[in-house]
Amino acid sequence: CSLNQSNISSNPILDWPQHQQELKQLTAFQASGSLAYFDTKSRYYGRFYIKQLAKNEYQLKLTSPIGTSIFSLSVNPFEAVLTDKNGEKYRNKNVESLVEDLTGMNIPLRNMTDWLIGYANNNDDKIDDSGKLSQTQFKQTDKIWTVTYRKYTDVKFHSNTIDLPSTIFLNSGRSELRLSINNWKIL
Amino acid sequence: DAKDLLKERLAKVDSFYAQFKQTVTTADQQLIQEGQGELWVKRPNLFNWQINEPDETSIISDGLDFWMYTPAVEQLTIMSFKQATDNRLLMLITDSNSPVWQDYRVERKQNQFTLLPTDNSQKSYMISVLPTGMIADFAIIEEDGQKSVYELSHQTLGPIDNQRFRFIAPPGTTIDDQRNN
Repeated sequence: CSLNQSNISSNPILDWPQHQQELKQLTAFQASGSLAYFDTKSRYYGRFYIKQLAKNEYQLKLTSPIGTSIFSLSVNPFEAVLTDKNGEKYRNKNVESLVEDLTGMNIPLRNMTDWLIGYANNNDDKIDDSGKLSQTQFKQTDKIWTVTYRKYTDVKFHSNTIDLPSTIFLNSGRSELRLSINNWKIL
Repeated sequence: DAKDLLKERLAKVDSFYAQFKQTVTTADQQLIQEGQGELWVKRPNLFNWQINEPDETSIISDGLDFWMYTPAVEQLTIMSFKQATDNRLLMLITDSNSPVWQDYRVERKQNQFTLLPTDNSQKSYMISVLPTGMIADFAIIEEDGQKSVYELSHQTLGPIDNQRFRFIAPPGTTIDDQRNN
């Protein structure tokens, strides 16, 4: 069997920059899994599918557990269009307010292209012992979101593999979002 | 006609258990979700739809109300039968004289029946039922062409204890009771 480079690397601080470089090349991918959302007023559960073609150009579909559509969102750098389950279309430049107006969920979608794949570049980022991001923070208008990466999984990438998040917790103090990703595919 | 034949076939099986594989695809055949689980059905109006993969969701009908439990958010949503529009197909499967039948016309090709809403705002359904009454698969089809298909397997007929169609929420569960509001 092939000698598998063990996950616990010799010097995590050295490996993180290399992982960051790899993540920077990763712009087109598909991911699906489940999403749980909590805030003071409501709780919410759905299954998500995302197909990202380029940075800030993606499709996001949310379905109920039995597979019926809740909404589908298509975003490009200029505009976001949301189609609800009755086929009604809504447009907005700001994707976050579009989703919040319609579903009540405040999801930090503008930074998703980074936090979904476990990329960040701040000096107070926390790195785990295998050179991957374990916690980071970013500002969204008036809130600070804390992103915690609980689990990673390795995914085929060119002729090699790359570790991508499979369990992500995001918390803004007022709301919490839990994603479990059970299917990654790099395009 | 096709509707009567479908009702007749469905009525042949009083209660059954089956495992299922679920796939959700968009109109342009993109696979967006996959799931697995089990299903208990007992006529009239009793079903327990247990989705196990990718994570757990329980949808239980005790004939009066409709319980949807999602451990991931520790929440139980309760709806009356009429409100639970997402699950009309199972209501049709489990009750031949449900008023919901009037909202659909039925077309047939061999063992495959298609239920088309008469007021085209609703979803349409497809269900394959053998002459014996056994269900092979069913699907929920949305107006935009998105399709959630359930392939059944390990079907076993026979009595099921009514206990299977009751739900008791674990302590700490948030109850979202949407009945009659």
